[in-house]
Order: sequence, then C-alpha cells, then structure tokens
Amino acid sequence: MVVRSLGALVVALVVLVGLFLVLRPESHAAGPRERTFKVSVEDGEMVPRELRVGEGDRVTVRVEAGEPVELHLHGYGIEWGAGPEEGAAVSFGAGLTGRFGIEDHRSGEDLGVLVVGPR
Amino acid sequence: MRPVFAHGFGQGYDLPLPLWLYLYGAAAAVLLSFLPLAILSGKGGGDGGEYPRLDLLRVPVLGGLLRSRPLLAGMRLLSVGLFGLVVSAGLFGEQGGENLAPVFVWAVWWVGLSLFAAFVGNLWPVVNPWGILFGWADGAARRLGRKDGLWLGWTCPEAVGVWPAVALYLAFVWFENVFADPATPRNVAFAALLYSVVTFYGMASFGGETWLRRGEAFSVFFGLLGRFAPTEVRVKQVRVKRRPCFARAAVEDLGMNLRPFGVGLGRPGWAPPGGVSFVVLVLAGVTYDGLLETPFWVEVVRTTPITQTTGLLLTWAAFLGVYLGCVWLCRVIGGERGPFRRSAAGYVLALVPIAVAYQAAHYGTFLLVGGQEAVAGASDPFGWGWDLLGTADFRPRYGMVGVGAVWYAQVGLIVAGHAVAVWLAHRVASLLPAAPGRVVPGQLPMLALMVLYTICSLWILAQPIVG
Repeated sequence: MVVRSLGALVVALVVLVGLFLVLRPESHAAGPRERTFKVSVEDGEMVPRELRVGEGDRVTVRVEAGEPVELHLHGYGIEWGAGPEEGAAVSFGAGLTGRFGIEDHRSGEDLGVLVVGPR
Repeated sequence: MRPVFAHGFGQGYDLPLPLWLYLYGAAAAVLLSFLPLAILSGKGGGDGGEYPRLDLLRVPVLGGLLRSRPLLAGMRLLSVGLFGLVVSAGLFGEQGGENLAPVFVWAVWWVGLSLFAAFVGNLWPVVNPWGILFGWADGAARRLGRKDGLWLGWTCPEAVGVWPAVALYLAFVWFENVFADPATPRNVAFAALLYSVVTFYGMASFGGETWLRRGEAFSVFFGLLGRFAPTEVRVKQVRVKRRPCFARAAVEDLGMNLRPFGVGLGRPGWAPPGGVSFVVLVLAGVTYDGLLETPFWVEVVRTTPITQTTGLLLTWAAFLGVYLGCVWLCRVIGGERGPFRRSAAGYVLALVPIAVAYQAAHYGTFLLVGGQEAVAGASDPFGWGWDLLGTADFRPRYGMVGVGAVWYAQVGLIVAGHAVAVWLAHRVASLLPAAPGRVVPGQLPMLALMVLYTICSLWILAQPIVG
C-alpha cells in the first residue's frame, strides 16, 4: 500500500514537472529594446489605447492632444501635460511589470493602459 | 470590485494568465483530482476528528502572549476605535482623494482579514466591533439591574438556521459588485452604519450570541474560512466556536492548536438550514466578481443594475442547482443512504478551499497595494493633510512582485486549493454511509464539479481585462 502510494506520488510529480517544462514558452531571445509610441488624445480617447512593451524596454511616449490634458501613468507615477499647441514626450525604463492605467487628471477619465510583459 | 474613480482605487495591476499557464493549471487540477484516490482509496481516516495537533498555549513565550487578557482587551479597544475612525473618515473626510475608509474596508478588512482567517485563524470573534459594542452595552444593562441585559426576549427558531446571514451576505455581495460606487468613502460609511443598525437590532431581538451565529453574515463567513485555517480553539479538548464558552473557561482548560490546513472542514457536522446556500453564495459571489470584468460579460450583457442583479441571482441559482445535482448523482452512484441534507452539507465544506484559493489569487495584489495605501491612510485618515504617524507621504510600491511571480502564485494557489478540496471530498465521502465498494465511483461527480469549477476560476484569471 505504501509502495503504491509513493509510486503514485512520484509519477504525479514527474508528470507535473515534465508538463511544465514542455508547455513553458522560451523566454524572448532579444534583449530590452527602444520603443516609441505616437499617441493622440481626441475627445477623451487615446489612440492607440493599449501600449504593449517588454520588461526593461526603454519607452518613449509622444502625445498630441486636441485639448489640454494632464496625463498620469499609474504605478510608475509619471505625470506630464500636453496641449493643442505642443505635443509632449516622456521617456522611461519599463522596470515594473503589469498593467498600468493612464489617466487624464483634468477630466478624471481613464484614457488607456500601458502593459509591460515579463521577459 | 471594479476600478472606481479616485486615483485608480481597485485598479488591477495584474496581467491575465498566459494561455500555456492556464492549460497547465487545468491539467494539474485534473491530475491531482485522481491522486488522492490512488493514495487513499478506502481508508477513511477515522471520524474526521484525528489529526496532528500542537497546543500553542503550551509553547513558552507565544502561549503567554496568546493567553494575555490585557492584549485581548487592547485588541478589542483598537478594533472599536478603528471602526469609529473609518466610519467618521467615510462620512466627513475627503471624498475625492486620499481617504482611509474605502482602503481599510475593502483591502485591509475584506481581503486582509478573510485571508488571515483562512491562512492563520479566525480573528473575527475577537475583533468584531458589533459584538464588542453590544457586549459592552449588554453588560452595562445587566449591571444596572436588567436581568436579561439588552435582550428583548424573542427566540429564533432552529428551523431558521443561518438564512438571515444568507440574506445579509447577499446584500453585501450586491453592494460590492452591483452597486454603482462601493468605493466612495461616504457610501462605505453609510453601508457600515446601516449594517450596524440591522445587527444591533438583531442582537437585541434574539440575543447577542444567537444573532452572531445565525444572522451576522461576517461571523458565519469568517467562521467558514476559519475552518480551513491551521489553528483551532478548544475548551477541554472539545472544539469551541462560542465566545462565552471561551471567555468563561478556566485558563488551564483552554487550548489553541496548530493543525494541518483544511482538516477543520473534513467533518460532516455543520448543517444548519441555509448553510449549503451560504457556502454556495460565497463561491458564486467571488466568481461573479471576476466574471463581471471579463469581455464575455461586458460585450454580451448590457450592464445595467437590473441585469447585474439578475446575473448575480442567476449565478447563485445556477451554482446551487449544479451543486445539488452533483450531490444527488454522488448519492445515486455511491449508494449513499441517510438524509440528503447530510450529504449536501458535508460536501459543501469541501468547496471552501477552492473559494479561499480564488480569493487569494484574485485579490492578492489588491491587498499588497491596498495595504501599503492604508499605511499612508493611517496618518491621514480624513484626507485633510494630517500626518499623525509620519507615514502620510508613504507611496505604495507597485510591481513589487513581478507579474511572472504573480502568475505562478495564482496558479499554484488555485491548484493547491483544488487538491485540498478533492482530498476533503474524499474524506467526507468515506464518512457518509455508502454502499461498500462504491465509495470511489460515488465521488466522481463531485470531482468533476470541482475540476469544472477550478477550470472556471483559471479561465477568469486568463481573460483579457476590459476597460
């Protein structure tokens, strides 16, 4: 009885570990990259709405806005303003992974999201 | 909890599970469902009362600390004080910015205390502000000459069971998921005050302890989670849940034991009327919360309060129907005799680890962030610019745990919860009177249900986040 239980446990462990190694995708061969996004804010909407980068990428976001906006990137705590006369750009390293909302403090609207995926 | 206004309260920082990890979790759940059958088959494990225990009160320094009455009194005062502070902050504090009330209630109390109750022990009977306040008033009334204290003299018939708690918990789940602004400080405070009125009225009408056991939704809820926890409280070797027993017992007769996770759920003994509905409601509520954020829901259902309320009730009804159907199948295949209620009540406790695992997986990072926000909030509860404890400028560190680690933790928790649930179902099945030799086939419908539910939990975590 004990042998059978131990045998079952060992088989289960082997299958679990094996399955994990088989299913797990290879981590990206490429290292961190430079990513630049041109974003426009029009009528309370950000186009493109979702910005996807990889962990460690150097990210630059250039914003052009039809009306004055004060943007706040949650999580990173980066704030910058943009307006009709001049666009604005920020640059930062994507050190934190996850999903970070971009909000316009003037209107209180959620405009978009920055998605930083793990390597 | 869906993301609500001020400064992204409730905003999720997690990413959805990647497909490969979702599939792996599902495969692991299925595999682990059959493992206990291979290891344990046949052996019942006694009457469910035997498991390794370590009495913490006998441990040198720790025992003294746990037994200390001044510490207990201090915690009670702190709890009541916090309750008053949170309600005041909600009513009078800054509504649009930093306010302690929503953070404390949703992150520290709702998620934090429930995870504490599940993974350490049920602290609620000690810190329940309504119980404490009523106890003080009741004691004062007795000292002033009223023989029965504050009790108005009504009795609650046994047949009512925990249905009052079911109704109140449903109201809470509705407030959390359907109500438009559950995170506004004023709404939190009003809800707390409303609940206080109902609770005090219930305690005065039917007696303090009776109401706590049958009608106080959170006492029942945290009590369920506490059954999963690795600690239990005993008086003279009999496991006890009631505070008066504990409070009156002589110090030498008290025991607080360390025990394995989940064993408290393995005895088919808790079967009050409404009990099954309560546990199924807990599961349905936790799942519904996640369901509301999936693209499936947002795109298919027009989200109005009516549809969301209906959705909640339908989800609960569906879960109940499927669960009871499964119990019936188990009884038919396994040849179980005895009342249907007993089987239903026994198996339902086995579902608690799955709910615990989902709560931890879904809300873990919410607690991490919210807990840090509460540190700042403690110095400036009203949002008026105070700095009582010097922590008002403390800003939460996001992404403290990388997204990859969060994924592994989520899947690990859910698969582990599933494994405990399956093991418990096996324990329960072997304790119910069944036809010999059919104990194993008789569990298969319940195993299938658990696998299905676990895969649903993983599916929700793998859904792209909307909005």
